[in-house]
Amino acid sequence: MKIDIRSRSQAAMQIVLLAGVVLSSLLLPSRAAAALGGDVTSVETDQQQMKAKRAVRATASYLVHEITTPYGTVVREYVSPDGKVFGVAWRGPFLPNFQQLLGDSYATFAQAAQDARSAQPRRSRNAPLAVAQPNLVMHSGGHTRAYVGQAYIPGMIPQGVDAQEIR
Amino acid sequence: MPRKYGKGGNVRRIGFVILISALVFAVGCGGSSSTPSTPTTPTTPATNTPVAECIQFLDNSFFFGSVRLADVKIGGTTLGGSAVNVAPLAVNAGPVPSNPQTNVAYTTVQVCTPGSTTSCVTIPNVAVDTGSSGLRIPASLLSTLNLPNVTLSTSTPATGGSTSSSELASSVPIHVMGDTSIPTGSSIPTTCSQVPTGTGSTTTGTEEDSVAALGANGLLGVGNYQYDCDFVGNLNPCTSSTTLPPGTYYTCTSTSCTASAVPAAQQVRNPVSLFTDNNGVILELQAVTTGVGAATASGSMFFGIGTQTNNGLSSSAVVLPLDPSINDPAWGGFTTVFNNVSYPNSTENNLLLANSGNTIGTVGSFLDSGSNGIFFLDQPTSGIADCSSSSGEKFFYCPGSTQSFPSVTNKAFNGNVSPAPFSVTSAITLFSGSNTAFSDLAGPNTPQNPGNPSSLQQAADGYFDWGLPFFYGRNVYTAIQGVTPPSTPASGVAVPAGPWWAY
Repeated sequence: MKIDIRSRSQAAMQIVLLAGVVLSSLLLPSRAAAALGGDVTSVETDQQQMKAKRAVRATASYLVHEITTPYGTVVREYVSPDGKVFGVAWRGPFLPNFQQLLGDSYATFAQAAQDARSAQPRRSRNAPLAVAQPNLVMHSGGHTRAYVGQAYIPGMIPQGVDAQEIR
Repeated sequence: MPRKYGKGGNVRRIGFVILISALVFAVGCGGSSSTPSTPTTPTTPATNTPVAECIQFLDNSFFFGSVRLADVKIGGTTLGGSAVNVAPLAVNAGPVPSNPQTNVAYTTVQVCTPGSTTSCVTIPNVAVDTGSSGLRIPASLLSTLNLPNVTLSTSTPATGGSTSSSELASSVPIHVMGDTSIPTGSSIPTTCSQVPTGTGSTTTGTEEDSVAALGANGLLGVGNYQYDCDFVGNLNPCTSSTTLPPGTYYTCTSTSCTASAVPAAQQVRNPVSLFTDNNGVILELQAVTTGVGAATASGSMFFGIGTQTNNGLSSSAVVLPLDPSINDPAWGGFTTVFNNVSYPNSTENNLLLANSGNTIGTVGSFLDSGSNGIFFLDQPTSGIADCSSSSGEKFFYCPGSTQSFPSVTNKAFNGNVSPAPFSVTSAITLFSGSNTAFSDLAGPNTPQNPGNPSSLQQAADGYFDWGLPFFYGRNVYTAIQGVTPPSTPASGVAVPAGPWWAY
């Protein structure tokens, strides 16, 4: 029920193919990552940039690409039947690279974080962050060396899918 | 380590996925000179290139600066402590009048050029943070010193000990935040500053490592770890280029930085782990009256647990080890039982797992002096009103009157249970005067209730961030992973190996 792919380096051109398909997309040159809101090929870019292992799991309504990074954080990217990443989630000792993982939604996140800071300077900088906007819902919490969070684009969630499944 | 999906689950999964047994990229790792590099790709830099560090926070702010060696003293009789292994603590508005702080415990540190007793600065108002590890000081406060840069070839191992007047960490790597000497100007690596790549937006993370932005003269991380990148289980992925996390360590020339693996010995280090009394700290803060707070609060930080007659582990304190299993919902912390419901909640997590096949989406509860409130759950789950969004305090709780929760407990993965009674008073009430210490300041983990998550998800994913309010009137212990505890405690009861908290 899953595909295990192990990649050591995006720069590696010495590739030994033991078995498999899906190769053509993996050999595409690195492109600007656009995970959340992007298409499924951006997941592969993410995987390469994270130098991570990836497993794919199917539900009735979407695919979940689970990327296990070498630094211990697990990232899950939720892909709709039309090939779009509608949600991402993470859990592990280090925060993921948000500019890469959130793609075009990064600016919304950064602005929301900035707004939250200026609106509520008394709250600690390491207190959990929540974003609830029409084009981005996000929660980022946990503490140093144990982080957790989710982000999704409400309008992209496939019909019948509960946003709470993104975790 | 493959994960299991849909254990005991229903039939929502469909079996179309083709199994590919192996798709292996064999990498020729002969040398690094021909490897193309990008800012996100670790390479092998010259070993004498200075090391820099980045820390990112949940609110998308970050600290960036060089790692340098210093001799560090904290407390001791020369710095106002009552004994060699004691540092005074003070909760007040902090050193920046335009940026007054709430529930921040400050202490005084002395930073010297390694080996010197005269080339030193004494820095008051450094915030004490049991949620991080290592000393971080804005460069502006160290300009009179000439602290040597840490490089990958730095071989001087940090040492430590104590003198007749204070504890000492010698040649310990510290974070010199906002140090513009490497790289010069504003060339902070984009993986730290989070300059977006996707759109034309110029919104970035916010550098907050000045005294003005911090509301403190630095951050003293006296948390559960020896080395910056350690986490529960003693893994340190920053030491290898194949496991280096994003936005952590770099080596920098005068013009640019490259993400780089850094051996543990060259990482920013918890100075306490080098002291004679090195297995953790005890924070002891005076009690603060519920409902009103106090203008200021004072207390002490003890170094070592069970190593001296003044720092014994109390027989009434319950040890809460950090859950080391990443497959547990309470990974990295413990479970809080609130209104007879456990947060995070294994049963609810298992239910979600069965429903959707999706795995754990939470972490354990934790104690953290660097959080200025008790942050937990959300309004629907806690039953406590959020402050109105127009009040300016919307990220805190604002119950109509003080609410007490006398029967709350914290439960560790090993079964240890410790009572955790606490109260919540309206933040608007507390902030109406000029007090700075509040034992009952609290807020939701998820203000604004994003996406209106169901009660099931809130129950499954809830956890408690027990910030400084919980520390008042208690002795809170933070034990360091990888440091051998005293085999025969000088006082108190037997001391287990870290990482754990107790109170």
